[in-house]
Amino acid sequence: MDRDTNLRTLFGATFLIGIFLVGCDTLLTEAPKDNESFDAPIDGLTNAQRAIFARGDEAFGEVFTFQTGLGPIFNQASCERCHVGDGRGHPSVNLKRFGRNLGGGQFDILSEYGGPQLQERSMPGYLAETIPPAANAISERAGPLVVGLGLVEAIPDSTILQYADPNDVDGDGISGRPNLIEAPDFLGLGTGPYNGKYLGRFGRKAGAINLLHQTATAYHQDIGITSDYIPNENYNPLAGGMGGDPVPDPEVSAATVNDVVFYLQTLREPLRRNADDPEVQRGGQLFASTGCASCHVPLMKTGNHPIAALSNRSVALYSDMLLHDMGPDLADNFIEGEASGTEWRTTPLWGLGIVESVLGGTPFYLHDGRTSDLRMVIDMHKGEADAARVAFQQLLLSDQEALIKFLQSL
Amino acid sequence: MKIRCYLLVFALIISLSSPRYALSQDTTISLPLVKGGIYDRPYLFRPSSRVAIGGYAETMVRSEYEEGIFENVSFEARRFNIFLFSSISNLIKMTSELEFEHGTEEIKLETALIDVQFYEEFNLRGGILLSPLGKFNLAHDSPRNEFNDRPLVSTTITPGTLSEAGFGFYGSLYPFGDHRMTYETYLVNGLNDNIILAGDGTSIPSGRPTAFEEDNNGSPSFVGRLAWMPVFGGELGVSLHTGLYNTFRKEGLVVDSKRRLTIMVIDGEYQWGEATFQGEYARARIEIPTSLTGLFAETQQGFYGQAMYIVWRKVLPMFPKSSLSIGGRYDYVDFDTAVRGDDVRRLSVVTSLRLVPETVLKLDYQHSWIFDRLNNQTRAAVIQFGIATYF
Repeated sequence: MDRDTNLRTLFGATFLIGIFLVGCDTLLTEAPKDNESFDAPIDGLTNAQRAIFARGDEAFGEVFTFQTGLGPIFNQASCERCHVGDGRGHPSVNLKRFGRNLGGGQFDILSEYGGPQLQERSMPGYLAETIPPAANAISERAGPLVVGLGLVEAIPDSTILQYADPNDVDGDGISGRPNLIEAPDFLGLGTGPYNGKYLGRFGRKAGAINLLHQTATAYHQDIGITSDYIPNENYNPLAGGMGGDPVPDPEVSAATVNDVVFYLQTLREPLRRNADDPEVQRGGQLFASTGCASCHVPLMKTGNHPIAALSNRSVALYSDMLLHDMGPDLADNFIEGEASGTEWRTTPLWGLGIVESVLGGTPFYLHDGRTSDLRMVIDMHKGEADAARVAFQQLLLSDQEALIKFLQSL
Repeated sequence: MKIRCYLLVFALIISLSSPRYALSQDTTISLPLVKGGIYDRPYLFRPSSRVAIGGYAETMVRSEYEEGIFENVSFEARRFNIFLFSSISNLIKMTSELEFEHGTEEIKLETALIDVQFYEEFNLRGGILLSPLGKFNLAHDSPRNEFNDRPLVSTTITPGTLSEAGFGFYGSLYPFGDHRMTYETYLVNGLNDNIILAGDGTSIPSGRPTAFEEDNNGSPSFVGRLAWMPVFGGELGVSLHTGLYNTFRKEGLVVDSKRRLTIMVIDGEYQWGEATFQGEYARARIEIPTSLTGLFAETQQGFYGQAMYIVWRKVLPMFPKSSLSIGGRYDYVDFDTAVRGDDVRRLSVVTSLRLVPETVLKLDYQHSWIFDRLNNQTRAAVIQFGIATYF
């Protein structure tokens, strides 16, 4: 071949390879379907808001090291380790809280032993915490889904409180009640409207008032990261002294925490799959008729919110955001705020059908991820949910399957 | 005790060495200790004085995709390395390499060593040296490699490029007729606490020394490689790096338990006609504090296998030594053998055009399957075009 032919062949081949690569989705990877992932922003954000979302996303994924402030005691090195892909946590990264239930609603968080949260890991040369023999209440918890939380935050108190029936006046056996929480100073909220307290919404027992409360506390307790909001290091009192990591406090700024809060506020709620399937729709009707929907309230509406995209939206979270006695199988004996050792906040069911997509292919349900079987989950619903559980068990097998199919479409 | 044993072994080698291999005239050994290594670089073959200056440069454009999202296109001035060699006498050499990575983002003295060449079988080396931990760490210059990126295992488990300050010995032996055997053994400062202090979990590369000063624990590490060339064009190597990495003593006080890092590497290379095959397997064992068990890896491992084939020589008439090659590489790294996930698999294909032996254009495509600790998969793809040349 002559020189020109060689050159033409060479550049032609290069060009064809380039076109082939650029044009082929499989080779350049494919995006997951919109309704099969958790990590998208809510619709309607401005460009400026999306920029904050991106910063928050980055901060949420930041893995802290001992040179960037991790510890001295901690559970995990980043937010994302407990909320992989913004989804539920895997049981292998469960955290534990402990304390001593003294009876009669009295509870000792055993702060002299590092309670209420067990930080079971520590920086090299530092003592990690262990559960003391005095503890008789150990609550193991998986990280909850962190999507759609801005919508949850934007639901007016009045909307949630209308479902409260602490004395079961209507006699349906369900007595949902709010967990009322004293606001920590760093939130700057002052005295709350309910005997000086605020409505708790976030966490397995609704122990956090808002996402700033949840986020700053998680930085501090779970990762051992101090912030402008909680600037003092978390020490293991049994380690002696106040020695900590070598990084000056605060280790992250209020701006970083606020970015993460914004990110959590604007992570889109999970989108449904197969909602038009007749079997799924039949399962939805059975969900209501068996009484499941009494606590797992299908729809609420947000009020006005500084983030316009969160305002006046219908929210299909399938929760009343209230505390319910769930019976002995799920009890942890751990008192948190006004939540007793048998009470849990109704877990939103949205995203239930795709949690396995971020858990290595296996779903883990309930507050501690103890089972991958939805039937077993329902079997463990006792206490206030006893009637609904019995109603489910009395359904024909085909009806039970339709109801489970409905749950998996959420 | 360890140092005394080490010296004893080499005293034995000296006593058994034959002066017939002693270098007397040449400024370079005719057969380099490591093919592609520090004494097998083009600038050394055109010295006009006792000092030679050379180097290499590498630049590229890179386009990344992850889970269907186009991440970016970026141009990188990835490396600009300057070599300086001096022959102080016929048998005393000094060689160094100064690396500028991404412009001035990272400036590193990668090599600065003095060789005293007694016999072919036995030579003394001291200074900042390339740790003989796998063949790739010893012969990693970008213009030598047909791919734009280095093998994953050679940058993560074997934390290439790994340079350490130390002293030791190297040489070539012919114990089985013409079959050449080379060795390099050194005592070095070793890696440091940053293996667990500075990375995302256990990160051996984070523990590489950045300043070649006092050892963090006063306990030398051993690094060595034994290579055997049973046939021409073929080489098999075994390497070991072992030593205490953490600061367990401060001001004479014991402040922590002693923790050891051990990395073992097996490498191989074979050239068959126009085809070249390369591979490397590495396994690392890292002792970690009990309070980090389950979060930080105690064992990591990985390998790569690569094949290149020259499909066309004299591709461009204006470059009579030009050649066109195609090839593929498979990388696998398991960052924590105790969990199901936390690994990366990567398939790369490349077309490379060598205009002259010192200059190469590379177009490659990578497809990676990245698994987190829970075994959730993320796919990523990279297309990159680069040029690298010795000067």
